Formats: sequence, structure tokens, C-alpha cells
Amino acid sequence: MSEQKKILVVDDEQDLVETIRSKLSSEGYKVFAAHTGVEALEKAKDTKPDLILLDIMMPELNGYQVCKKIKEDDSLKNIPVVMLTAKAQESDKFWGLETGADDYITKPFEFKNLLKTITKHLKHE
Amino acid sequence: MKVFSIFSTLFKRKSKPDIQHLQKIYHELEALDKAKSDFLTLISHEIRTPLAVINSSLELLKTTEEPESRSKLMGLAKKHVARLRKFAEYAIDISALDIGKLELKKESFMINEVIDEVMNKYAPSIESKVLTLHLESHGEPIFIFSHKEKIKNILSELIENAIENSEEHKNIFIEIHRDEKYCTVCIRDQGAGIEEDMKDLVFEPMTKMGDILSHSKGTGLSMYWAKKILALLGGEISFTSHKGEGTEFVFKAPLALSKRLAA
Repeated sequence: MSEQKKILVVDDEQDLVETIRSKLSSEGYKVFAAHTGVEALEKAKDTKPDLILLDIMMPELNGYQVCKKIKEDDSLKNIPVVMLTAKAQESDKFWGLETGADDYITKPFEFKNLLKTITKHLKHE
Repeated sequence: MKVFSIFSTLFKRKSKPDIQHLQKIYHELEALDKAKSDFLTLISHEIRTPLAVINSSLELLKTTEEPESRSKLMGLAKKHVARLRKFAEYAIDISALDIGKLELKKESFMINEVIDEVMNKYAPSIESKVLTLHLESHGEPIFIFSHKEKIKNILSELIENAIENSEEHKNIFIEIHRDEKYCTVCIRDQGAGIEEDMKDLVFEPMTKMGDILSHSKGTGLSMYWAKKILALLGGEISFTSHKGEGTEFVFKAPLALSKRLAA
């Protein structure tokens, strides 16, 4: 990887953040983590990641609200947001994409699919 | 939509007082429908999240050779298998309790031993956050008459919560007392405390906590389950919490009869 891409992983389940961090780091990405919606917005502004993996069910601000705020912010709106969530119904996916998310992956997931989705959106940048 | 169209048709035929009654029923049905939908969201979240950790840990294990990292990944997978098992147990217990079919066989046992066991189980988490655990038990060991496994699970929930709510280098206090009839166990942390508007909801199932999307892990069923189980076992649980100072959970369980007479 010529330039190290930055990914912000947002999930209140710390153990899951750690396994994702481990996999993405081994693939050459620089990983930042946030565990609440509020922290996610702060880290997004501070680190300007190339992509955000975003959980929906979180304390304080939920993932839909975070995504909406990101897409309304001129300095962040071009960052691809991939929802990574336990909410698996079609209506959940609809609302995710409706708030401006670029993609939607349901838990549990395979790393192969996660990496494929990340690569797809980073290529489009 | 189908329910709505049935009621719309009925509304057209009925006189005014009946319409009010039907509107009330309609709103009740709507609330029930939302509760059902929230419950399914909770179930999905409580099952899919640990499955995601288990699956990603196992995937990482395939390519990890270093023994310490392998052992850490195995530990993660096992932790979340236990979380799933616990969730299934709580859901089954609550369902059986709701229809009056949960029977628990009580026995006499020493609460001090159970507390030691739970403390040993959480020693690694306590160590990793550099917490200090203070255990204060007054006098001789205390025997209670209850269900050992359920009491162990309730204690585990309370200690796990205390650890999770504590920042590094803080203290957790466990105190055991007895009076003529009951043994009382207090578990106190120095965490952020419970928000005022959440206090009435601590022992409610998560589906009553307003915005289900703001659900955080660990608040699903455990405290609701603990309160119901303790009540069935003749005990009770309560808490006091002050913002910025911490939370203290207190539970009571009946003493074993012979020990009560000896008191």
C-alpha cells in the first residue's frame, strides 16, 4: 500500500473493535477507534479518516444520528461511511442508506467481505 | 397496515363513544407492536454482537501463530460464548417466570465461598484495569438458603458491572453483613454513577428504555432478570447512585434456617 489509509472503527463493543483493529492493521491500514457516537464525531474531525465503519446501536448518539451529522458536515461528508451492525432487517438497511451511509454490513461478518467493501469504497474516493 | 384498515372500517360504522374506545385499543395495539419490534431488535443485537466477536476471533486464529495472541483470541471467543449462553439462560428464565413455571431448588451454602469464586473469576479484568478490590466480611462465614448458581450469576453481573463502570486505579468495595433473617451483600464502585433519568429504568427490561438504538451492551436483560430471580428466591435487590461518585448495589438473601436459629 503506497499511502497508509486511515479507518475509524466505531462500536461500543470493545472486543469487536480490537479484532477489527488487529485485522485491518495487518492489512496495512492505520486504525482509530471510538466507542460512542459523540467520540466518533470528535475522532472523525481530529483524524480525518479515509473511511468510517459505524455501528448503529450505541449510547449517547446512535449510528444513524452520527451518520447524518457526518454527511451534513462539509469537512466530513465525502468520507465513505459503512454501517456495521447487528440490525439485520431490510428496513434497517433502508434507514442506514437513507441517512447517507455508503454501504451496510450485518454482524456477524466475514473479514473477506469487510475488506472487499472497504477496498471498493476507498477506490471510489 | 392490515390492523389499521380493520379499525378504519370499524370507525366508519361506530358511534362517537365507540370510536374513542376503538382508538384507545388501536393505540394499545400500536404500543404492543412497537414493544414486539423492539424486543426482536434486542434479541438480534444480543445474539449477533457476540457472534461477530466469536467469528472474527476464530478468523484471526487461523492466521495467528504467536502463542500469547492465540491464547488472547481463544479467551475472547470463550468470553462471548459465555455471554450468549447467559443471555439464553436469562431469556428462558424470564419466559418461565412470566408463566409461573420456573422452579428453583434451594440449598444451604456459604455465600463467602461463592463471592471468593466470583472474585477469582474476575481477577484478570481487575488486574488489567489496576483496580483494588476490598472485601469486608464481618464475623464467621454466612450460610444462605438459596439457589447457588443463580446467586453466583447475580454476583457476577454486579461485579462485572462494577468493573466496567470503573476507571483505572479505582476501588471496588464488597461488604457482607447478616441480621437475624437475611444476609446482605453490598457492591460499590467509584464510577460515573447512574443518570437521574435512568434510575427508574435500571430494573426494567431494555425494551422500556425509550430509544432502543441508544442501547448499550450489558443493559439488556440482566438486571431485570436478577430482580425477578431474587424475588422468587425470597430476597431483593436495590441500589443507590450519585453522579460522579459511584453506584452501590445491595442484595439480600434469606439465611439458611439452622443458621438463623443459631443467631
